[in-house]
Amino acid sequence: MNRLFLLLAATLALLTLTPLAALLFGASPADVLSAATDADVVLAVATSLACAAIATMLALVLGGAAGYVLARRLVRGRGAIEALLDLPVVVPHPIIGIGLLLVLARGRLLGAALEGRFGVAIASAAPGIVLCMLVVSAPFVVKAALEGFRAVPMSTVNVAATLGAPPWRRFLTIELPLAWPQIRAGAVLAWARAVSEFGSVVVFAYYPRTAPVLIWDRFSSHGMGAALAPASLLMLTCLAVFLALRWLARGEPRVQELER
Amino acid sequence: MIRLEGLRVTAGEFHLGPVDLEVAAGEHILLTGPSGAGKSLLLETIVGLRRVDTGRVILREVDVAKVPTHERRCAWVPQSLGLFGHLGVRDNVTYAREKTFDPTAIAAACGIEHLLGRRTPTLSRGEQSRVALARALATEPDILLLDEPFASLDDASRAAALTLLEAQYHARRFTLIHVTHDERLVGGAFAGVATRRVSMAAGLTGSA
Repeated sequence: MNRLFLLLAATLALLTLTPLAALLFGASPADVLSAATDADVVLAVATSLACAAIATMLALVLGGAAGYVLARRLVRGRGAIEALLDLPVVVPHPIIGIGLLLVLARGRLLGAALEGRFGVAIASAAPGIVLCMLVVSAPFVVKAALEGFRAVPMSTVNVAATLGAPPWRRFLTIELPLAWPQIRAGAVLAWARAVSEFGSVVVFAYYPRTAPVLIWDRFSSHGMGAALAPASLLMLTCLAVFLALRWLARGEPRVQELER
Repeated sequence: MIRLEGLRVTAGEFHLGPVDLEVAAGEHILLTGPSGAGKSLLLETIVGLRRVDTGRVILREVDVAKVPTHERRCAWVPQSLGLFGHLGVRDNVTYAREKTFDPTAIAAACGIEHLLGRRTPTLSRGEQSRVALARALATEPDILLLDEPFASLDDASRAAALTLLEAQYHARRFTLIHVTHDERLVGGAFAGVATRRVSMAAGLTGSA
């Protein structure tokens, strides 16, 4: 049985890694270096990294709060809410982009209000990219926070209350630190999801171009050759950042459950 | 010190009460009864973790209906101990105190002085229970509620923990309600130092 499972796992690894390896070795080091000095490519990669970082920060705050609300049963209909939160993962991402356009495009409901009152354009602007990334990546943080906070025994939190800790102190000194390893892991996944987002961004915020949009642009306009070097560069950059984030998030899992 | 008047509490399908109980300052109550009698629920209600249906909880002559748990000044050690697994023993013991608080004296009194630099998950259950007791005592409580924190200890560890508790009770004279359904404890030497035994059955109390 073990051999069969090993074979199946190896098949999956082969199917997943072969295209990535082909991409990596498809472009010569000189081409990748050239892409790294191409102002458009550098700007697109920087836009992707920066927007993904901002989206992840927002996802941590908003998604962390949502996970807490669900874990502590502060709302009714948690099953329905959890299913709704999964929606951005299930729905094809161009549809999310279209949905955002319906609400936030210039001349639409919220878009017009935001632009008229605050002079802030969301669609086809950096905030739009962040919004797309936030919508598709936040579920990872919500789920991680939900599991993280749920794993914190209420008796531990209650003991802190009897020791004189008001709600905010209990949250910051007990609940958040105990749930943090899981939330942090969720945030790393959320960042990875955000930086690779294409479907909703290409519909809702084509400009300024993120790296995936630029690669798509070059591929559709000039063919494989023009897309290969920036694609390799983006992959290497993402791999480096992802590994760095995983390394920062390393450490033995904390013992959360002392109840026996 | 503690007065419960016609107290009724609901937890799921379980109904507690009506409970009438008065515990004088410095009294030591052994609260006994079978599992499911509502002993833990009663303590959780006193510290403010459960909503009261009817009746009153009066602490230090004050009706605490609107006083949140963190302002009731009731030290509580649950059966699970509720140790903070991400903090060391020192930080557990000093959690309720100011930053300058030196935990050495209370740690020595509880026999955990040598454990102050350790992490709580690495301790034995007996050591953990003493850390939980030290953390509660570090608040210098006038009310201490123990919900069978020594229940799962072996005989020797439990005897040591009870001796420690007895010494602290005599030294500090807090009001103590000690929940147990351990008949050995009730009938043992520790029962002799309790000022009263109160039994609970199916959510109702009676003196024994």
